[in-house]
Amino acid sequence: MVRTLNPLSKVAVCAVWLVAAILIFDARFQIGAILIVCIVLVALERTSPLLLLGLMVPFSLFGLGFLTTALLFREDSAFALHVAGESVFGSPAASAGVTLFLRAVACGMISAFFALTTDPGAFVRGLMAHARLPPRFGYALFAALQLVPDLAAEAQQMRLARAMQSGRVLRRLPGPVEAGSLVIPLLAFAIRRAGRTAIAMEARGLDAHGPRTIMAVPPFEWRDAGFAAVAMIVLGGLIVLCANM
Amino acid sequence: MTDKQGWTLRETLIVTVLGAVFAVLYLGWVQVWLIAQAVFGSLTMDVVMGFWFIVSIVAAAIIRKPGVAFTAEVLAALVQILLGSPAGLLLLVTGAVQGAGAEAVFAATRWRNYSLPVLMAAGVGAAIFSFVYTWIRFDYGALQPTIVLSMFVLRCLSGALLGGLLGHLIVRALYRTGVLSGLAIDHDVRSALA
Repeated sequence: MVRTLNPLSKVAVCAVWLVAAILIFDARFQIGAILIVCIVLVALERTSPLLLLGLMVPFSLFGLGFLTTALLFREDSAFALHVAGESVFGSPAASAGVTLFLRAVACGMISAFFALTTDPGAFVRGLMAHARLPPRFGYALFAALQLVPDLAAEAQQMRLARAMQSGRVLRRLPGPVEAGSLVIPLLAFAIRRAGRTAIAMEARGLDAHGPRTIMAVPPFEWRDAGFAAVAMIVLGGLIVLCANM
Repeated sequence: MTDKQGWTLRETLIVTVLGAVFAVLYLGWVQVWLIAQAVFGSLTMDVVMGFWFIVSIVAAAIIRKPGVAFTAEVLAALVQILLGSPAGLLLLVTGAVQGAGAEAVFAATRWRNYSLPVLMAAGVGAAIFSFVYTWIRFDYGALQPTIVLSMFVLRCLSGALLGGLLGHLIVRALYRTGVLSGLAIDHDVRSALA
């Protein structure tokens, strides 16, 4: 259901929710935001809760860094610990740290909501048609996307060639030194490819000016307005609820 | 368009593919950071942060036109969105802030100087902008001043070294491969030699 909405209306709604999550320093608001996004994804999009948990691991680790920083280095930590009877978890520092942790997860969840419900191609086409993204950038993004799988193949080919040259067995995953030594050749490969793509695109008449047709542009429909209105009402309701609790 | 301000299609594509390659490297660097953070603690983010500024510095040093540093960071974030990174939308804001920091330094030189000190200053510029952003987002005002100062110094150093210096070394290595011929960096190097 959410998948069929215009990507730009989703971006706008997610941006407003992200700003709210960043500006409202309240653990209850962050928990509410996490739960609402989870419910929408699981109930409407049939997203696996396990997948959501897995996606939140990096955000949780990120948030954990802020939690420990708040616990160890917050200005009111020493005094607060004294007041709280030396209990780290009862102090205002811990409460602020938990809010920061939840904020990292909430922002991650909102961002994941967009990633899980949006077709990348439709997003770029929408940006070109409705947000004045210059088509040269739009098509360059498509070209760059096609490059990414080729980068992996190219890297593997280079590793194979080096292993054959040195007569050693190819490891399944490159170590840090080997990975670092691949960066320059891969960048050179990418830049060469960009040059060739530019010639091909220019040969097909893709210059900076002039009208062009964009296929399969995601349209704005009434359901986009409905989605935005519901999202804003829920956000307003959550803010009011947190303020009055 | 071949004038000094506008971008050619080749330049646009180069900035975009640099964004794509560094988007992949940035995703890998996240794993390095998460492991380092588990071992060394929370200040690790400021130590490793500089690497996430590098695409703006590399792209600007190659193309040498207004807006390249900012656009390269934003495009790297856009590519991460398109690759389905769950953090993509957040990275768009982060990328815009970091790119603006690097761009401000290049703008201060009127996009004429891309020497090593300027590239390192661009890394510091990106570090300062990103520090202000994380200050707002993660309530740094409530932390002890000494720790905030340490985080700021570490992030600036990281920006200068992992962003500016490493970016300079990458650009030099790329130049030696010959793939940058015909671009602004090539013209400038040839003019300097002549």
